[in-house]
Amino acid sequence: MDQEPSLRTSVAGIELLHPIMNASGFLGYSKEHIRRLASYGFSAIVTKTITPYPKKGYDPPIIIALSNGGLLNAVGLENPGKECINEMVEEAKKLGIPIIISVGGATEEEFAEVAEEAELRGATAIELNLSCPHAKGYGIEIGMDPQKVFSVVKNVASVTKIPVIAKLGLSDKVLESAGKALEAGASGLTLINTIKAMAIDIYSLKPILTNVFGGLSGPPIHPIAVRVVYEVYREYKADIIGCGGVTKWEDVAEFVVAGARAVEVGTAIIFSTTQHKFVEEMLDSLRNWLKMLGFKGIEEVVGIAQKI
Amino acid sequence: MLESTRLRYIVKPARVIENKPISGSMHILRIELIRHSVEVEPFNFFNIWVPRVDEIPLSIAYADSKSLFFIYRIRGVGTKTLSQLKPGEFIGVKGPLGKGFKPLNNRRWLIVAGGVGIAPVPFLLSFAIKTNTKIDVIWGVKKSDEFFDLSNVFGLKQRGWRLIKVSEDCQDGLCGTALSVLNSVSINDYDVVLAIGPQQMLLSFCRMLKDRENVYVSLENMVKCGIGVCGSCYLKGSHKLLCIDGPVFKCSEVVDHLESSIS
Repeated sequence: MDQEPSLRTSVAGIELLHPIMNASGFLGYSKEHIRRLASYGFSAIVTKTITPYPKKGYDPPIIIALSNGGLLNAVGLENPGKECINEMVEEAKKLGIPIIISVGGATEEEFAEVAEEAELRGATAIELNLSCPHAKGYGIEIGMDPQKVFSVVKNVASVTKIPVIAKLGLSDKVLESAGKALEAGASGLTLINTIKAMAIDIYSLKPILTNVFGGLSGPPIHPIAVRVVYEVYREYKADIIGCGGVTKWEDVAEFVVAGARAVEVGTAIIFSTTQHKFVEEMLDSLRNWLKMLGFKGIEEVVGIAQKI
Repeated sequence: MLESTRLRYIVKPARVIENKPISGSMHILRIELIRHSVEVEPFNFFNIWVPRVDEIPLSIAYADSKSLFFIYRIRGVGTKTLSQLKPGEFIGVKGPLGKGFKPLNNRRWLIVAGGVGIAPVPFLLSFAIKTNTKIDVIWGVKKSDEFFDLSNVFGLKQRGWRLIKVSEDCQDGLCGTALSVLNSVSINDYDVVLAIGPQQMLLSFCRMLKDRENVYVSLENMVKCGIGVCGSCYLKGSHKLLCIDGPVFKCSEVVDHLESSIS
């Protein structure tokens, strides 16, 4: 009998039963949210971005679907502050699932403060949100400046022992920022965040989101995310989590062969009518695909498309 | 399948057809979608986008082939601005959201509605008439000028349903609250007993009937994105979200949530 190909993988030192986790921003600031995310079958849970103090988000509308298949959001990093980390980590431990705390801040010190709390409470790892496209002062302004990326990552990596993953967004300097994050001590990179975008209602003649601008996710950004993963892997052979528009198992496969060791999914599961089967069905298809190509495990194909 | 969910979550342009007071405290809004058509069930809700002001979750009150109807009360800036919109003006609607909750054939339902909790009832009654389900509605209000003529507004047939009006000012119908009337009703006669109204009323209702299986509440409030992402509407002590799994829940699913939200 042929053995089923293995989907086990590891990224930034985190051992995973399979490569599919959730993308930050999709629930993730209470123990109830963690329970719901775990029920979807993800291999690890990434929390909503947590800041040191409670942060009020924008007023609705904050999230809307678009007719081109994408999702547009400007939630504004709403979260109850770092105090919520403890109950989330406890819940994840009860469920036996790795938990990655997405960390946000307006200053280097704020990033470090939340990261220290995450480590103290026993989180598996930290994902630094250096790329939110709609929260002023909290995101992409950092990620598009390689020097700022270096100093935030360095500051966090110097106060924590758990793996630090830097989440970077689309910018002209993403390759350089990725290099700086790794140089500063990041064990891995999540590529990419949502992309700054907007939607206008052509009858009332007004922008729809209260914040006017938001972050675009979903299928429209997938080819861009694949390009970034491919280029960054080619340059640094880093541990990469691919994020952006994973809708079908083929998108997971594409990210992996481009160089990702894991992927994050958000928009597709939000649109799915069978949310509790979504991950499992993708995993079955990935095993079949590996089998068809004659591979024993998914780690064998990481970055394989670089050989051209 | 993915397509159908995404279409529900798009903000669909709509034109205001009618928007006016319907009673001492409630307004009725009638709109027409400009480019889309939607399939709606009782207890679905829509996030009504009032351009540059707010996005307000409202239960569907009634729907026909062309229009969607909503009944609302002015609670803040969003609903105040909504109430000032004139026929011909444009808004947007995200939905239908939430799970529908509708009667099977030949059942008996009891609805206990407090105040503007009556909003989803007309559409429910129109389904009940189609499925031969008999519905008794106890509608309680504080002041009797809050009542409006349920059957006339939506042209509902006077068949298969009864309305018991209760007011706290004792000027119209029975004297008291919707829950005070519930005490004198034979609950065993009904397949489903469902309450809609303020949280305190829902909590008292669930406490009163806590040993029964077939008692439900339709929750209000808390909804922000409406599509299961922002997490604002999670039920404490549960993995459920109001906007995806609700708004109708069994009392046993939400009693802890109601207790901790009110205390």
